Amino acid sequence: MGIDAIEDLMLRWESARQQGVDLSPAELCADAPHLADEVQRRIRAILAMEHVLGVTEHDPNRTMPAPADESPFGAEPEPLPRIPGYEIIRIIDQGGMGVVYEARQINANRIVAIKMVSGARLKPKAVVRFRAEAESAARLQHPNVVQIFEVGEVNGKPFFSMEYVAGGTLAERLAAQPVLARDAAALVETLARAVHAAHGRGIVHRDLKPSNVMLTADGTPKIADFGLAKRLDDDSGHTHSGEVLGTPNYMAPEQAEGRKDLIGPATDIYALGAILYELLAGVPPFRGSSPLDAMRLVVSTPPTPPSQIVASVPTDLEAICLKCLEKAPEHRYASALELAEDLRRYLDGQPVTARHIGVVQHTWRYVRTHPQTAALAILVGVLFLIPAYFLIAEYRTQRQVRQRAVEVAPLAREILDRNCHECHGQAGKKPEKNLDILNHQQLIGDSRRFVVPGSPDESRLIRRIVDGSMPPEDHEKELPRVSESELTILRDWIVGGAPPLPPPDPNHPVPSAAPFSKSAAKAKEIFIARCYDCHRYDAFKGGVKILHHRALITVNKAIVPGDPDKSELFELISSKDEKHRMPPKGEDPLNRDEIEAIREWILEGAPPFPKTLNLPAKKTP
Amino acid sequence: MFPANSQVSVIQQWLPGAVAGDQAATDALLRHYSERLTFLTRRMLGDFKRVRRWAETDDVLQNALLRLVSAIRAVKPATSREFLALATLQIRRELLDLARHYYGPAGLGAHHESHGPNESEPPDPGDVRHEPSSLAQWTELHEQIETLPEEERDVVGLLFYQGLSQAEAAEVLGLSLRTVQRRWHDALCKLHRIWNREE
Repeated sequence: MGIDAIEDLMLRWESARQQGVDLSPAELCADAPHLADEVQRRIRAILAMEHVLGVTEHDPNRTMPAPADESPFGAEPEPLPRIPGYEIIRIIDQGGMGVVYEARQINANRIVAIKMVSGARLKPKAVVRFRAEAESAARLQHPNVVQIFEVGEVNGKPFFSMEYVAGGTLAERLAAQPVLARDAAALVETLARAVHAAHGRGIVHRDLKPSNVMLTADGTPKIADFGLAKRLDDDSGHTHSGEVLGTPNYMAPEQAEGRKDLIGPATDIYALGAILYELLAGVPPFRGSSPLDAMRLVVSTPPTPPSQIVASVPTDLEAICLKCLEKAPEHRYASALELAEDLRRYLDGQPVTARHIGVVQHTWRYVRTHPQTAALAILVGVLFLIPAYFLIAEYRTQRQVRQRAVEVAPLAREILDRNCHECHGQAGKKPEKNLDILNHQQLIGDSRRFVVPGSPDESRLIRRIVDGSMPPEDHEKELPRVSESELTILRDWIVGGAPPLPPPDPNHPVPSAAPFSKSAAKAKEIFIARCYDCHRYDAFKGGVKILHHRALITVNKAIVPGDPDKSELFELISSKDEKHRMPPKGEDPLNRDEIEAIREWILEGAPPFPKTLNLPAKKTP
Repeated sequence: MFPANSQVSVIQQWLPGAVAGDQAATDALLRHYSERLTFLTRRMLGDFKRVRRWAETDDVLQNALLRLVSAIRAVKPATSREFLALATLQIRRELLDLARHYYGPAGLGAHHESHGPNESEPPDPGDVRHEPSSLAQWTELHEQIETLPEEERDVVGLLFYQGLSQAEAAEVLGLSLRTVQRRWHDALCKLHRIWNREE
């Protein structure tokens, strides 16, 4: 009945538009307003697709519509979205993954780019994972990485705002003019150092290519979409070859083979090599007649040395490039930093490490001229040096693992503080009673095996993050999730013996993407001076750290931006009830000015606290 | 360009001759299809000029038309409806090939600069921003049209690939105008979901 009625309405609409009359859904559904939504949805779908296909039936004079000069993609009749805090200016780009807009961030008064993911196919869990990854990428700050400012969600669609880079992409620049060998080396060195910084935070890009390298007006390269582009591909469940394959030209063999277990920093090093190759040779290393063909070549065929395409390519630079393009990840550079430093050696005119072949040739020549000495050396080698080599190698590996753990300890602290501090007691089934997550002694010394140095898989911390109980999954709105890259950091920290967590470094506070707000600074000052240790476990579903801005805003009614009277925290600080107030009974309540300052801060929308104020030492009980 | 009411009559006029091997009739049909194919190609690729630099697009069209001619001679469609079905199939295949060949991720059109007919002009940079995903969308769209129920596919074939009006399509298919409209609406709603990647 309903379907027939809708079809009839659609036919009425069709016959009206054939006569040049545009009936609105409301007019059509005057007698059946409950059908208006569905009718509107269908009309929009039909008009949008007729526009895409270039079929304009309502024009009675047409058989062949005039060819449109504009691209049909830019002209999708989709209204600009509304994102709180931003004023959308225009569409910059539209691709399979989503739409990029130019926008003005209102409170910071700056132009930003906003990428909105159009994946209606993204499952809610994928959206959560994507957000966690984007938030983790947002904490990465490097002059050669496009800075992500904010991650959010509008109508269930995740978006992130980022630095607006006006100069175009490397892909465009590559097409416009050839690149000199030294310029190519310097550019890839810069990119490799930025990539290394990301790897240090456990973030792997996985989709480095010239179109992901933005160039500022003065030519500074900035890498975009760190850890995000491929994450979406994986999560959106697209199976269409053109979508998942992306550009096989820069894809590492382990990606082409679908070996997700092998994807890591070496994957990015391969892509840097592929970019260097294209800069030098003018073509990417592998080009097949189809994406599948190109992938087959990536996996099975060695690349043509760039010097066979452009004779002037320097031998050292070629050796560096080909080392990045090794099929086996372990044969490439051990880190992006090593690649950067080899490129630096090339630029400084020093011998590069990539030219192993020179060493082999040299040794062979020696063996041929001194056969007896060589035979003796080999014997000694077999008897003594080889076992020693393995021992040393083992020692070095262990030292590297420990060193890495010490390096990531500050990050591990930051992650535990941000992601896990609020979650003890939140998951009813697995409460961690009386656990101070930042107390190193409690973490490793406790019989509950929360952190077992050297064994992440035996550590309950890791197991609980993986099984979704820390932070508890049903609290994902209040408590930020631990992203995969952050989990990698926690694992690295535990594998290397879980060294002590350093105190937060006041000189390097976690930078805030939010603009400085006077009222927020004042509120923070008051909270630190008066309420730092007074958070009530009976309020806000188990307590909330007073300086945890995100938790304050997202925990049920702790702070309702713009509305002090609905904010439970405001009620607590302004309460006259001795039993139910903050600071608790026995301490002086806040004075009128202080309460007024907090009210102003909430009225202003409760902007984030500045990060620059130092925290006081914790009171000892 | 042809007037609105001449689509079917052009075909009816020249089809018997073309099937019989008459060159003039074949040429007339080819001219007709050349324009339609040109339009659809332009619609799909957005910027026709750039494609033309990558290959002689005329050659591509020529190939498609030759295939159409051989198909006409091999299958010998007796009615305009049969002919249109055959031509639709050829056009769709040709567009799919074109999309994959020239603008796939590894295609000739991706990534590289090209010079226009006038060498003194600055090179036209390869455009890597839109094509792969958009072309993937078009490829998927052509493929999805293939999987529509037969009744809807026939209507999309005539209205989109052949450029007929709804009234002409109704005449060719021997259906009422309302039925054609209903099938067209249903097909577009399905394709819209695919185009926008909704579940």
